[in-house]
Amino acid sequence: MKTQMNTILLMIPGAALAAFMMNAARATDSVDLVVQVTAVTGACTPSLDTPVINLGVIPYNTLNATAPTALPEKKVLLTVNCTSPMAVGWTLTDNRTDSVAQLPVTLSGRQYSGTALAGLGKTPAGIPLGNWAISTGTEAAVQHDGTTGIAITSTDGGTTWRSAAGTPADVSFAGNLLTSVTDATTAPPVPFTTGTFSLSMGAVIAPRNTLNLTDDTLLDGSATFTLVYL
Amino acid sequence: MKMRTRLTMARYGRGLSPLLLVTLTALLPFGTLASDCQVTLSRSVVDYGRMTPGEGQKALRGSLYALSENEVVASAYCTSPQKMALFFSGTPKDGGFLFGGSGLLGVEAAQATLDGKSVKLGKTPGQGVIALSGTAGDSAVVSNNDGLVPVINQTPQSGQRFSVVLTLKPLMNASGLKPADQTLLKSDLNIRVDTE
Repeated sequence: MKTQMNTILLMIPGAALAAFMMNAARATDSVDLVVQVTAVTGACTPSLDTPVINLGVIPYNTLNATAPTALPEKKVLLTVNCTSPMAVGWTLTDNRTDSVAQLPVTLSGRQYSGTALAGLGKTPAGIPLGNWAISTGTEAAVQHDGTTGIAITSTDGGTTWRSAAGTPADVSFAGNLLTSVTDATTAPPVPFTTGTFSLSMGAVIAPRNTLNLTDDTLLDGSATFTLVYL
Repeated sequence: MKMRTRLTMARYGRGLSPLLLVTLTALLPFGTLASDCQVTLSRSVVDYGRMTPGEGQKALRGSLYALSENEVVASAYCTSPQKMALFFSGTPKDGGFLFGGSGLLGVEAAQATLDGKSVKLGKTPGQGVIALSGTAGDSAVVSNNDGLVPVINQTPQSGQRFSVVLTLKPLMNASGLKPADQTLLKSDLNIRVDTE
């Protein structure tokens, strides 16, 4: 009889434990809900309709002797093509920083100076030949997927943006100014598949009497556009 | 042969019964809590698959894209009628929950029922005591650590089965995503049932 009791005692905890294990396996007082998506991003490629802007041949004696000579404006179209809509901006970096003559350049009614100027090379004696600048023009010159937008710029890597509504956007060849496009003056950049920036380019040559040139001299400016994914 | 076998079983029972009883005593409170109320979801994963931000959809602003809304039914069941609340927790963001690195998951609860009857949805502030905070309504926007309670006449009700329909409204932020890449953006939401 005693033996039977012990056997029963053993079986009851065993059954209860089994019941508990079953409950613990299916019953719960909390659950996790997962919401997810796999974002597939594309890539963008910049291109210029005129990778080399040829200013032509300028007779030396046509340059102003004592004042800078402004050359006619040139247009260049920067197109950014993306494989899917993406928010991107671009920066400009001058590759001739040691030859900026610091001569103000006026484009689209706005005067550019300082880091908005890029070098054009030097004379054999090491005198800067002049400098050039580039402008986004007014907002009508900027489009995203065929829609006219507003050029915007950022100096903090895209955290905040400054609108250029009605005026050309800021320009800097220092590589720290992001330029992009938006729909409204306070909005961040809009993603696009094709973005176009119609740019104006102007150059100013130093006064003839400061250059003292005796031979043909190449005006050689160079700048790099870099895309930044935002 | 038969008798010997019985004796062996008896010795086995004598030796292990106290140990199993102690083990059972320690486990039962947990087992009771877990089986007293449980919460289930009509589905635990809402997967939007692969999507290219901006493809076939316009950005709300900047690089923020709205994904289609999805519904999930959350149900709490208790073995006996009692006051209960569904609590939601995740990584908070802008009144909703973080979705991916910088997106937003909005969650709205509606169509609440208690034991099959339509009830209002109220919020309860804390755990342990199911009390109504504010005014109950037909729907409620769910924020982090919110507790939802079934309400009739502005009073939390007792019942066995409390269900709500959750409408999920994810906003995918494509900003900061690497170009030419695939990134899993997700939000983990924990839903817990608490009783008074």
